[in-house]
Amino acid sequence: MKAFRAFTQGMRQGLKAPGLLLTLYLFNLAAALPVALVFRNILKSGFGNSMAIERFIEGFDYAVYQDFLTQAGPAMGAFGSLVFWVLLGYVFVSTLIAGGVLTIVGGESEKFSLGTFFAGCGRYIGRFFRLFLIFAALLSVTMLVVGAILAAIFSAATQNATSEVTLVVWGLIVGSIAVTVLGLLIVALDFAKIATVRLDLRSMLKATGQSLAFIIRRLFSVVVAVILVLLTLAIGTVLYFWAASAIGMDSLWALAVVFVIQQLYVIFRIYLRVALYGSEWALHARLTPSPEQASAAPVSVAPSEA
Amino acid sequence: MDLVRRCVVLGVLLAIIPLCLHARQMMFKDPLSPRIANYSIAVTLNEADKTLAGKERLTWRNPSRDVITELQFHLYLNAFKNTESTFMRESGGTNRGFSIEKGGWGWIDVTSMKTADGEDLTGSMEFIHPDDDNDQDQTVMRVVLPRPVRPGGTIQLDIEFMAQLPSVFARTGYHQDFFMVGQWFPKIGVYEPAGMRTATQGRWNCHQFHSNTEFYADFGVYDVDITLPTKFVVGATGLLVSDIENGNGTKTQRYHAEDVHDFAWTASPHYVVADDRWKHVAIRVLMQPQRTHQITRYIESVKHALAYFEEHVGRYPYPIITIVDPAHGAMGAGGMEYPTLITAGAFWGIGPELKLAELVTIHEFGHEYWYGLVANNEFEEAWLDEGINSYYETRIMDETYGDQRSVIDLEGFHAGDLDFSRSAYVTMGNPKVSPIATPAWKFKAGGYGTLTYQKTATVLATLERLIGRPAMDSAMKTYFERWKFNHPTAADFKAVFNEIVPQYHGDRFGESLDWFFTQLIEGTEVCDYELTSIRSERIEGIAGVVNDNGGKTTKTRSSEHEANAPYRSRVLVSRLGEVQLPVTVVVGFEGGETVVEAWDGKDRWKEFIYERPEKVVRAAVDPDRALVVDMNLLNNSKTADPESFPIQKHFIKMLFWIQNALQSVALGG
Repeated sequence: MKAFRAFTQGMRQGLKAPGLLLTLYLFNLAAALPVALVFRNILKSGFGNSMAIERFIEGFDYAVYQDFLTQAGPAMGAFGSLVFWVLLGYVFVSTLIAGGVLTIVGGESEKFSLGTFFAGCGRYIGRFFRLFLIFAALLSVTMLVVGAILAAIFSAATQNATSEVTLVVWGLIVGSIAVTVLGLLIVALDFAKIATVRLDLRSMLKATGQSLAFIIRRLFSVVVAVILVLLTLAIGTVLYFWAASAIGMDSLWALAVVFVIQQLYVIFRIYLRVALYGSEWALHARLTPSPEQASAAPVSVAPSEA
Repeated sequence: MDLVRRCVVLGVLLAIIPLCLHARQMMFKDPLSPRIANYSIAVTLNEADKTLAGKERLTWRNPSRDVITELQFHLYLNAFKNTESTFMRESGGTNRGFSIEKGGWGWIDVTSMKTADGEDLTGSMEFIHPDDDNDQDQTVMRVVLPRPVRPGGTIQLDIEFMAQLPSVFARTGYHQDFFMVGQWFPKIGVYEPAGMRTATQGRWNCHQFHSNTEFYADFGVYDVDITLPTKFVVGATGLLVSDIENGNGTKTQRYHAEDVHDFAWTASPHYVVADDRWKHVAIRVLMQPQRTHQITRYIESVKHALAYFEEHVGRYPYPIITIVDPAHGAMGAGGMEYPTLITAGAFWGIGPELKLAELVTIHEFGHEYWYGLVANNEFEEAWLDEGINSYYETRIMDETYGDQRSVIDLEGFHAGDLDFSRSAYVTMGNPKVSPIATPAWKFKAGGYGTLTYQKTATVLATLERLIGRPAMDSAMKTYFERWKFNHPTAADFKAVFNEIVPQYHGDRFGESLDWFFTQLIEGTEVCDYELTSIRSERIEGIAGVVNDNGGKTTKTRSSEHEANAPYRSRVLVSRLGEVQLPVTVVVGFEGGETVVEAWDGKDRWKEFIYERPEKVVRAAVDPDRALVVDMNLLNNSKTADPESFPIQKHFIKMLFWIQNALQSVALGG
């Protein structure tokens, strides 16, 4: 039950650092708000004083929606590009601030301070940037290879299909495999960062190799821990949609309430991200003791244990 | 003969007579159509080679006062013979989103043609290409007759042919053991005497098969014997009148159809057959086994269509409609119409939130009227069938499954059929690329599909809102009754409207509706009305120097007067497009009162001025969206105080989704 203990430890760890959650939330909001404001301006200039927008107070109007897309087409195209680049930039920024997050998550001190956070960011910024590049390359190559293999499997399996059900089933199978491989690589990146911070590794290639080896050796524990976090996310998501649809967005008050719920949901997701780091940290610490821990009390864990 | 034997003989006769009648089953007591081109065909399917071996007896009557010295035939399958056919040159091997499979060519050879008295015409057959100079195209054939066909006379020809079906492409062909056999036999063209349609002198109307074109043929009676392995389930135009096991692993099914102008059939060993009935019409669905849970969607939608057409257009005369669900991988055969047989298209797992199965069924059934019964020339005036039919499709879909949500209704995102038609038109890259009234093969710069289908549906929806549903239905009923089992033209369609609409509206729309059709069917210009501005100012009286009793006085305004002064409000509406249509303008005042204005929409702009205690707070041109063809709904209205709530709502939604997207990609960081 190492995975479950790691999960609960991670969840507790996430709760212990509200300052960290607030900082990450502000990062998120600071990145999202300007993009959303651009969208708001496109809406305002697209509709102007038109009464057509009233069709969207309580519902949806496809004709008006299409006309808006037609009229605001160039602006929406630019907006799409903006979203893409902001998302890409955020991946990069997330890499750079991961050092701060892990310093807090793995630190002994229960007190969060911005100084500790940014010190952590600064300390690992170079290493995590290299790690980012290594994993970007690894991810690209893996997905190309896996994608080609899966495409060949899909093609062979569905070539003489007499029913689209075959396509759907095989689509789900290869899709699930692709998502699993992608997910494992993302988790491997987490473990590489954790190993770097915990063991103060300097070689990011070594960190990558260790994390991949760790994932392969401890696959069950890792997967269970991640699934537990994903299940928690799923429960939270269902609750969010239930609450949002129950309240609706048909009045200013309802809008305000839903806005608060939405922001709480975003904080919840940030919390789960921190909790995932915490779970992974706990798992890594339990299954890969640091040299100091190893010399003090060697730990031996059978691969089948989870 | 003793009594027992007499009784036996009588019994046998009583048993045989219905069978004989059945074998010569007549659909209709009296012919409903001129029955010019009549076919008796025996065809054998070779399942392994995907070939057809056919013997056809054509009985053709000369409907004109002309002496006919040659006949012309369509050989549609030759469109798929090679890359140099006109069809392939125009389409590049792609049709309706599907590409022809490598090696999946199709063709037809007429191996023998003789008159009924045995005179061989095979040597006088030659390919012609009346539409272009492509001498590689073999989709039209001419035969010079040794003896002409006299006016009103009849000729019988015995034709033998061999056809290779293509891998499913452009409505016809095979996929594995699924066969959709359309446009498969040598089919005589239409001889148009002077005065018929646009003919000024007698002529054959027999176009080559083009990428965008469909078909045109004369009505007649079809008796078709289909021989194929016994494992196959068959569906075909008309009624099954006999089904005989041949004892060699094959069976022969005979189908009989009257007063139709084409014959298609399908075969697959996997069909699940579902039978139902609507009034006098037997409904037969040939369903793929994996989609049997969607049979009711086909049946219910075709019942809606049958009822709707009967109420709003006219009676469906045939006793059967067969709906074919194409096999997986054979969707190129889907969404097609033949007399009494349509091909639809469903997909496993697609729920009722997306009503594509219903849409395609209703559309294809509508063609039983607009193509099947009212048989315009689809080559030359495709909008008369595709466009009118798309208009009825939007009506039936939206009225049956809900306005603005009939096609898709999923988690708050919803759209109706007319919404989609209009959007397809107004979002075209160049909506002026061609008039609707363009022969189908002459849309060289594109736009055939959208202009022929969606723009026509949008135009007719606009016409309906202009003249009212009663006048529209009356005109369409008249058009149907007058032109069923015949070949109308656009002029005939317009003539009916010019006759019927004045009965409802007098001269409200002028002497005729030609101005409407000229602009929107024959023209390329677009319609766009705009509510340009709203301005309200106090009528504060004059201020400044005025002449007074021979002198000059300087007047000033009092603040009290200013506070109580009425408003002079100006509402300016403009016509941005070239199309001129009468339109309504609604003006709303403070306090909620509204004024409705009518504008003939002809000038470039019109200003409405009001002097009232309340100022104008909002105004809209065409508030009820009667002008479905209007290119931009956003500029149709204005309000003095813009509503910010929807903007805030969507801003908050967008913020939330971006935050979530960021949080998702942060996993990779």
